[in-house]
Amino acid sequence: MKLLIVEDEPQLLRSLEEFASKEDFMYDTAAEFQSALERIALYDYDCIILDINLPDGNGFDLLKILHKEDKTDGVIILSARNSLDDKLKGLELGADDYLTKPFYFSELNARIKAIIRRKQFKTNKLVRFANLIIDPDQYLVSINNDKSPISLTKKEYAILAHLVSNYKRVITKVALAEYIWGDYVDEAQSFDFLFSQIRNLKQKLKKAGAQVVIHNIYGVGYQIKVI
Amino acid sequence: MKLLTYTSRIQLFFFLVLFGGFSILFYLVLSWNVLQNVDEVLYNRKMNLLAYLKENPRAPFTEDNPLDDFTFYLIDEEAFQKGREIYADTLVYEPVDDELDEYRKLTTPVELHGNYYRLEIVKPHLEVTEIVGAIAIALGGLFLGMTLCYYLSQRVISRKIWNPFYEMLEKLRHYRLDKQVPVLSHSRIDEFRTLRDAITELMQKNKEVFDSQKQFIENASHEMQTPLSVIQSRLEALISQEELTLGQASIIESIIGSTQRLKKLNKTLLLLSRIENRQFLLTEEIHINKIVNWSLAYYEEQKVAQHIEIVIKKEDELIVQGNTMLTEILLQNLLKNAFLHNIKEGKVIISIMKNRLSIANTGYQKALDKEKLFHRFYKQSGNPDTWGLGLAIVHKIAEVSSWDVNYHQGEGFHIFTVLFE
Repeated sequence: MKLLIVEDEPQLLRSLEEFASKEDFMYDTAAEFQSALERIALYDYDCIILDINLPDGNGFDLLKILHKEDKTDGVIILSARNSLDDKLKGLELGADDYLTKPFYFSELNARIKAIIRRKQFKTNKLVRFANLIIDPDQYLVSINNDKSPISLTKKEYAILAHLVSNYKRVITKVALAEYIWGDYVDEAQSFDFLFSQIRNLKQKLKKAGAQVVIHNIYGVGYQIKVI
Repeated sequence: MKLLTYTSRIQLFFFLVLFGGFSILFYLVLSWNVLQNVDEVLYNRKMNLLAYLKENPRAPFTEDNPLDDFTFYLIDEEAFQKGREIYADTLVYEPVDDELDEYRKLTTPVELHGNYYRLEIVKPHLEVTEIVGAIAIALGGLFLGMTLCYYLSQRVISRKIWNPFYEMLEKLRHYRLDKQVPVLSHSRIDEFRTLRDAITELMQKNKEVFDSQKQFIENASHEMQTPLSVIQSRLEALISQEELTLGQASIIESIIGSTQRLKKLNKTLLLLSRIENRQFLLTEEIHINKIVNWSLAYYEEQKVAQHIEIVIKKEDELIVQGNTMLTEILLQNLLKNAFLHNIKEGKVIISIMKNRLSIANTGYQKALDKEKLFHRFYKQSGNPDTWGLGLAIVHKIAEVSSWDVNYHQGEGFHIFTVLFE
C-alpha cells in the first residue's frame, strides 16, 4: 500500500505525513508540481492525495497526465476551492474523491480506506476489528462466529464504522458530529445527540459481547480500542 | 410631475397671461385708433358742413331734420365764447326698436351768418365696435392658434430633445450592480453627451469596485481554507497525544470549537459569494418531496428529545427547476431553524403544495422582524454560536432561483413559505 502526498503547504504536508505514518501507510511526498511529475513517472501508487493549487503548476494538469496513462484510480483531490465545477472536472478526469479544505483526517482516512478496500479486498470486503466483523456493503456488524448481526440504527452503524476505520486516532466529537449530521443540525445540539448515540452503541456492543471499548477522551473526542 | 409636462405647463400659463394682457392692450389701442378716426370723420363733416352753409346761405339748417345727422342750437355770445369742441360717446333713443344706441357726438360752438350756434353732429358707434370686435377676434384667434401650434410643436421637439435623457434615466433605473453595465445611446447635445460619459464612467467604476469586492471575499475565504486545515489537523494531532491531560483537553476543546465556528463562517461566506457570483447551474429538476423526506432523518433525535410532532401535508408532488445543492441548503436551513427554535412538545408542520412549500413551527418568540429577518448577520436570539446567516442564505438562494420566500406568524406558528416561480 503506497501513497503519494502532493501538497505545497509545509504545515499541512507535515500533518499529512504524520497521519500517513500513524496509519502505517508507505508514502512519498512532493511539494511541487515538477517533483510530483517525476514521482508518478517513476513509481506506481495505490493512492495519490493531490492538492490542486501548486506553486509551479495545477493539480488538474497532473491529473490529466495520470488520466492519459490510466493511473487515476485512487486519486483523492484536496482543494481549497469548494466549487462544483472543480469537483466535476476532477471526477471527470478520473479522480476518486474530492475533499474540500479544511477536512478532517478521520474523513480523509475513511476515504483512503474505502479505496484500499476496493483495490485490495476485492474478494473479501469485510472489515475485521477485534471480534467485530463489519460488512460495509450491507451496513451490518456482527460478532465472530455469531450468525445474527447486532441490531444497530443507521447512525449507530455509521459512528461505529467511522470509529473503526480510524481506530488509530482520536476523532474529535466535532468531526464525528459533522460526519453524522452535517450542517443539518445545530452543533451544540448535535453533541448531545452524539453523546446519547454513543451511549446506546456502547450498551449494544457490550451486550453482544464485543471486545472493544469506545473511549471518551476528556469529552473532546472518541477512540475505539480493543480490550 | 414630469419635466416636460412641467415646462409646457409653465409655458402655457405664461402664454395665456401674456395673451390676455396683450389682447386687452390690443383692444384698447385698436379702439382708440378707431375712435380717432371717427372723431376725424366728425371734424371733417363739421368743416364740410360749415363750408357748404357759408356758400349757400339760404339752405335751411336750423330745423331738426331727421334726414341729416346734425342739429344747430341757437346760443348767446357768452355761451359761444365759453364753448369748446367736445367729442363724446352718447346714447340716442331709437324709437324703431325702442332702445338706446351708442353714438359718437361732436359738440362744437359755431358762428354762422352772424348768429351763434351749438352744433352737434352724431355718428353711430356700432360700426366701430363691430370692426374692433371683428379685428380683435380674428387676430386673437390667430394669435391663440399660433400659441397652440407653438406649444404643441415645442412639446414634440422637447420630447425629441430630451429623449436620450429619458432613455438614460430608464436604463439607470433598471441598473443593478450585479448585472452588466448598460450601453447608453449617443446624443448630439453636448450636455447629454457629458452626462452620458459621466454616468457610464461612474457605473463602470462601481461595477469594478463591486466585482473586485466580491472576488476579494471569495479569494480571502479560499485563502483561509488552507491555514484552517493546518490548525484543524494540528488540533487533531494534539488530542491523539498519549500524555494529554484534562486541563489541556479542555483548552483544546475550546480552540476546536472556535476553529469550527471560523470554518463554518468561512464556508458560509464562500457560499454566499459564490451564489452572488452565479457559479451554480439553475436548470436541474428537483423533487422537493424527496429532499424533505430524507432531510427529516437528520432530525430524528430532536424529535425524540423534545417530543416534537412532525406533520407532513403532501397535497402534490412538487418538482421545481433550480440547483439541487442550493435547494438542499435552503431546505436544510429552514428545517434547522424550525427544529432549533422550537419548544418542548412543539410542532413542525411541513406543507407541500403545487407550487409552494411552507414550514411552520411553534416557538417561544413573538413575530420576527420581517424587515430585517433576511439580512446578513441579523439575529433575534442571543445565541452567540449563530451568526444570523442562515436566512440570508435562504433569501439569496431564492433570489437567484427566482423564487419568493416570505415569513408570517399565525396561531402561534412561525411560518416560512417558499413560492416557486
